[in-house]
Amino acid sequence: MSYWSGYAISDFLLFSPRVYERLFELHNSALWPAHCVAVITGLTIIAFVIRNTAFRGRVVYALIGAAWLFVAWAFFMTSYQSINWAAEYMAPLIAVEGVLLLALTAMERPPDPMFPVAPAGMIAMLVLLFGLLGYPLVAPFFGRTWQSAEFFALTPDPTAIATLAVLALSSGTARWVGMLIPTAWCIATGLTLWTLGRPDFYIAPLAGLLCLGAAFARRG
Amino acid sequence: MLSSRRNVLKAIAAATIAGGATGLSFNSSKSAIAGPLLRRIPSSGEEIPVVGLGSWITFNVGNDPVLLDECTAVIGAFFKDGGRMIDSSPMYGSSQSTIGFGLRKIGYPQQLFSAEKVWTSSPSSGPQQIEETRAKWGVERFDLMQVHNLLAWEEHLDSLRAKKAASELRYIGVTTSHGRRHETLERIMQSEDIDFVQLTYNILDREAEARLLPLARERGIAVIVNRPYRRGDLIRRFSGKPLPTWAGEIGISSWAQFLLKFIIGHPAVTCSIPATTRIDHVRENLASAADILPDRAMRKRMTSYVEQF
Repeated sequence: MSYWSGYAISDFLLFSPRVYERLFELHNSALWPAHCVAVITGLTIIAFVIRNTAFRGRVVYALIGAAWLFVAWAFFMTSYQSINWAAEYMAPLIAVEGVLLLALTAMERPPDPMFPVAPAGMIAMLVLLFGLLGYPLVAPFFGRTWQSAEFFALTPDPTAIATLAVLALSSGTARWVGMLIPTAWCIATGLTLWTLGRPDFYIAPLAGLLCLGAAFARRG
Repeated sequence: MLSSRRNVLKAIAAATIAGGATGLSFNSSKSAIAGPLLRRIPSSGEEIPVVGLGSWITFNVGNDPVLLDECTAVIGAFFKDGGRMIDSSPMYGSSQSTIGFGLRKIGYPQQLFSAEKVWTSSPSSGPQQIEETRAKWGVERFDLMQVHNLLAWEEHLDSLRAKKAASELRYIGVTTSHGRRHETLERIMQSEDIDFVQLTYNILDREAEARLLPLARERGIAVIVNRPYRRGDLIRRFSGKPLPTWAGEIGISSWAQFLLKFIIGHPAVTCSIPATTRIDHVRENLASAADILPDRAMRKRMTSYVEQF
């Protein structure tokens, strides 16, 4: 422990901002046309959240759980691992989140992501739309290439944001367990981007904070 | 402004005179003016250029074909301008593979001085890690193997000594950075039979001057200096500030040269290893070592100058 205590966060930054941006460009290039599937998945999740069906929770959590498993393999084990040796240690945690979310679908009464009526729920709904459909705009908005845009179900940041939003919209105590890993990721990615000097470092932590706030507000 | 021809000749004369005391000489494989200065490795007498090439962050480019080619161009320019030592570590992501890619493309220059590290808390895993690293570089053996950041250093040093005795390595050493664990490093330098130490030393991080650099000279240990620009922060910090009018006296035309010449001007420093992704920067770094270096009085003047900012 004393060995690691001498390190600062910046010591674990192994790559430059340019390499990180190029990572997403190559990741997108390798996965195309999976982006179409990702967008359709996002639209499906939104449709089910809006419509009140008996199996809403099962469908939404099955899709999000599958998204985490895909991100664990496609992003962490395949792409990110090429520039960050720690990615192979992160991948199992990301996969655990996928399994946890899939396990929710097996519950007798899975958490139910309901279309909100209260202001706190509306905030979570807006964050969900941002995570599922709006996040690809972040890269060009902050001066990066369109090719490096990040998509839900293909990269971890929008996947974590959308997951936290769905959990904030849901009922039941099981949702709190599901929030741990996405919240940790939002903090981790915020620190990484801050260390890289990226101006958008605050987006995932802020989105996570809004979802946690919405979840606590809805609890009352 | 770059120094005039007269200044360069004066520089050569000064460096030659100083050579006996500092282990400094000019690279005989190149013209006297163009080649980087050389420093002797105390344990063997072998001479290496006083500027090498680091790989922290800059060579961690994964499988990106564009960036791999850019790194290869940097490595090629480094050797073309007389460089020898390339330093890396298992901690540096894909940097080792990038170096191997570059060396394969340019055909493994004979002058390569390969410096690597072992970085694992499990001493029994050290030899396997070294072998994996060797495969990534594609070299027959490493010139220098260092224990990275003193992690499990006692056990690893035993293993490295055995490899050196079996001619599987030419030199062994230990590293630290960011000024960490200098007391332990000092203890190792006093008690262990090592060829190299690697530490952080630059114009603002001068803790090593007090004990470690004098001890290295006393014990005959070569010194590799990492973080010469604090990962570029020092250049960013001083850019926009005027260079002193007297900088031209020692051939300084940029802040990068100012900062690097300060380091390699210390007689205990064997090699500094700035990392870069740019060919013009690698050339500028090597050019810093191609003429006169600051003496003690000049180095003091340099520190006083930067401390006003």
